[in-house]
Amino acid sequence: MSKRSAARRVLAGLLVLSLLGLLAGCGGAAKEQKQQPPAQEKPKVKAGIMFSIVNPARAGGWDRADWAGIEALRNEYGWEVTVGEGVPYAQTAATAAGYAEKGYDLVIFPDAGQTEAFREVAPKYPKTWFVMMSMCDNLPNSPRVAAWSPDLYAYGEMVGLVAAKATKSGTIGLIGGVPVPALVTLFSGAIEAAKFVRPDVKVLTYFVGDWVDVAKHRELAALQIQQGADVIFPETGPGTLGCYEAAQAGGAKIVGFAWDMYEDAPKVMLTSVIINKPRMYKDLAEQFMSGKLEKKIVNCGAEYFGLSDFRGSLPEQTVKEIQDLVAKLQKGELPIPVVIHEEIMKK
Amino acid sequence: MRWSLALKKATVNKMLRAGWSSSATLAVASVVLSLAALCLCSYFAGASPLKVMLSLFEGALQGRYALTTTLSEWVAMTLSGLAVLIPYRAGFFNVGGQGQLEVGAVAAAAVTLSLTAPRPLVILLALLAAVAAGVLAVSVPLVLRLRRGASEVTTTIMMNFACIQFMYAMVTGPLKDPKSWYGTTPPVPAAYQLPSFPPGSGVPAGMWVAALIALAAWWLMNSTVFGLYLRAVGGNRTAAVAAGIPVDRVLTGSVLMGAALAGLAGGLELLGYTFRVAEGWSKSWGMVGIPIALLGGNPLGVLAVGLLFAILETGSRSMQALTGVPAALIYLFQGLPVIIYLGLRASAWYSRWTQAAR
Amino acid sequence: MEGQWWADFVSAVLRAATPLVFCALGVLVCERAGILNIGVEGSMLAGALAAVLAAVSSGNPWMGVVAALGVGVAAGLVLALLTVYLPADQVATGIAFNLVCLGVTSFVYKLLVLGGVQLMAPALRAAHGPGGRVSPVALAAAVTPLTWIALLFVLLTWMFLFRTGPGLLWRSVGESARAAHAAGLNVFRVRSVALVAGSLLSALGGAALTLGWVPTFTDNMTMGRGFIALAAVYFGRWHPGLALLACLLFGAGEALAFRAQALGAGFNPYYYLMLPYVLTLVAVAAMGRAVGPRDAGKPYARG
Repeated sequence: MSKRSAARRVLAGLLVLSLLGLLAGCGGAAKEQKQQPPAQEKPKVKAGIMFSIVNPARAGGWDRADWAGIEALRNEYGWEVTVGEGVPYAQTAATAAGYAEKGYDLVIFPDAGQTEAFREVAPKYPKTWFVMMSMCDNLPNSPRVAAWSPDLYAYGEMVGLVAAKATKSGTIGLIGGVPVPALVTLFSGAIEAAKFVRPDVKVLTYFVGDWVDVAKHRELAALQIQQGADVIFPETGPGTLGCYEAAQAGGAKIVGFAWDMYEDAPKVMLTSVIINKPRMYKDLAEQFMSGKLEKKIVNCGAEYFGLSDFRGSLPEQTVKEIQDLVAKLQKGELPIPVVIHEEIMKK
Repeated sequence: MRWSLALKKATVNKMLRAGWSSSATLAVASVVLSLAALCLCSYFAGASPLKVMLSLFEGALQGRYALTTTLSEWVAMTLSGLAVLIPYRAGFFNVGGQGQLEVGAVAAAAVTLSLTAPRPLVILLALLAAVAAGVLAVSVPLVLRLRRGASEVTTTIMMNFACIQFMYAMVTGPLKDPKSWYGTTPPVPAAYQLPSFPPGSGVPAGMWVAALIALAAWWLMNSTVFGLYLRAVGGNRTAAVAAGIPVDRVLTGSVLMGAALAGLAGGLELLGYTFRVAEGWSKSWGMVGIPIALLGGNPLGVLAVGLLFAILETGSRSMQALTGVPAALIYLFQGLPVIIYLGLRASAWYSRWTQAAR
Repeated sequence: MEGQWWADFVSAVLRAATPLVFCALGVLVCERAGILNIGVEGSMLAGALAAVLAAVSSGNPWMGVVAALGVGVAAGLVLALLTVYLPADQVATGIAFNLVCLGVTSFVYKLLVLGGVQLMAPALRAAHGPGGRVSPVALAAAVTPLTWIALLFVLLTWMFLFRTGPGLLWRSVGESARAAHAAGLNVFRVRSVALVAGSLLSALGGAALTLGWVPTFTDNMTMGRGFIALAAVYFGRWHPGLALLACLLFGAGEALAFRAQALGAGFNPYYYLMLPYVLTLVAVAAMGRAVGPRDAGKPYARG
């Protein structure tokens, strides 16, 4: 008994120690990686922002575009931005209130899923600015609230123009994470614009069921390729990587979502339809620092969207045609009808 | 019957002494050790451990929002813990708490969004619907266990996946809010939300419900024949059958009770805290219920450990958001105390110590 | 068109089933020795990350497989220490182990990719895409080498457990540890070896998920596939061949779910996505009573 128990005691001790060591090891590595924002003389503007996913800098295009906006706030305006990541929707209100109580000047919501927290917390802290950097139809009842709301239908139109011009097979694939109304709007715009460019185009719209499962994303993209799609536009989260892999294996091309995704999959990226979030963040910073920020919703239309470099993925001629179309879209010269295809949610 | 009473008294005494004086201390010790590990980690990560610890506890306890959030988390964690603990006593490992919680909330949402009636009636019906949904979700694994001998660990996990898909189907389908940009139900009408109690204090009414249920469960498990049967069935099934205990009925009762509590947790969280069922609306309360049940060991222990976990959960999220340390540390922090606790409890040092205590 | 559809379908099923087969074998060898390996999800996740990191840094996918094996052995040793030698509750330890693995892998991944681009590992690719006809030769070329290794392992596991002397002893530990001990077996050693072997197979499952399917890593990328392998073992009645069938059935459910969406029958996609899980539950119900190794899940302490 005693021999055995001594052995067990040593084992238990070793276990705890090794776990502690493991943690310490992880932490040690973190030290080298830690990033310090550049120091500034003046009292800095402090902003808090929350992401529902982790690693926004490396996630799908939407969050990456926000990340670029945060970098602009930090580097160009010297703001001190605290980033909360992996904040569940249920915890968003408490986290936002935490920022407000800590005396942050602004609290930024990058995700329409955080609307509920935005509505709930903003009225309780009228001294703090609460800003929604996502789709927003009406503002909460508070003096210091604003929103930069991208017009997803217009965004979808731009995607549709590119995809319909680029497809050779005449079939394009749209992949969504979760069948949410925002995606129905976006995909509707893409369908209408694609038909406008090429009336015989076939558009496949499938939903993975979540934003993150890479393997499922790959299978769904592979299925679309099998059904003839040669241009695929995935609008999801971290799972998007699976679509790239399927395109690489199946010889299809990808239209990147929201940010220049070229680095992630150079071989398959046609171009990316960018949401110029840094511009929205810069608008915010300029207005805040000059004291001109007011309660309003900025509707960000086609002028806030653009294409990344094609990097030779399409013939010059096609690229030029696409760029002409996009320029016309931005000027409002393309008579694309607005039709919301509710039925794509029920496939 | 007299035999069982005698056994009961002895067990209760032993439980009180051995269970309370050591198991709870052990749970606290493992959490303290984990906190020490977190300190060490943040020290090496270049953040001040003091600041990290401070923001952890401030994030959980300072300010009205933080407190309300912590207490609401406590409701879910206590009930999820009981949902694991009660069936576990009878030898049924309910890993399906998360799924039961999700469908419970969906059912409650469906009731509040479709009914118009006096407030207490709607709230009552919504909670009953939540309970019914939880029970329904566990009935498949239960029947498979009783009729087919199927291991509930696997079937309840399957039900979790199915229930979460069902929740998504509802929030993007029949129950979706047409005015919202993301997948969600409309908010529970203000008239049918659970008030705080005492009114205006921000203390969720669900907290009192959860505390009462924990007390009732403690009484049920320690002072009734059912509690005795429960332990007998979970301890030695063959002996329980020989003693004439209706084994299957005791098992069924405990499992349904557990699932009902998980469903209720979903209903209470919806009506008193989140007000919407949506994609990503819940946390992994059902899953965290497992370590809580194991660390708590008895219903009152679950209540205590549940509070601890609620503080740590709310606090660590806030700590992450305010100090920017990697969110991965939070997951680590959910598993680490359990492993340390299990390691400590199984170690010889501990068994010798408890023997001395007896 | 018809032949093409089937060829694509079968290769999709095999892709989805390969990681599950490895993990199911990992669970099975443990349960046969009396250990409920709930930590399979964690080992799988750790294996997935190790495989990607090693493959990226060496440029050779097979180095990734080797790294996954190493991580699997380490995970097995930790689990053996906890559940065999201490011994702590197997299910609780497994669940906590999964959480810790999720934390550690996410943390390491975060540190390594900070500032860099997404990890895209060299993959173990199929020789070519599925051809127009369903023929054994075409299919053989359309799946990754890991699929063949998985099938080979199914055969080897079956031969070991049911056709060799050590296999018999192994199973006897799972049926009754006490009796096995009385017969002179070292229960601790057998169970530890089982856990190391099981975690190694689970980690290989992770490698199959990354290198053989989507050669990258994201937080929690296994998404509960380890738990599905657990169900497959039950459904497969602790027999390697039947467990393989269960994994294929699950893979078919997943592939069908997407294809049903493509047909567009006018339902919410989530009803289809429930399909694999419901199918598994129905299969369990239809299979009739199954009895597993009697001592599975019971901690064994000498004394």
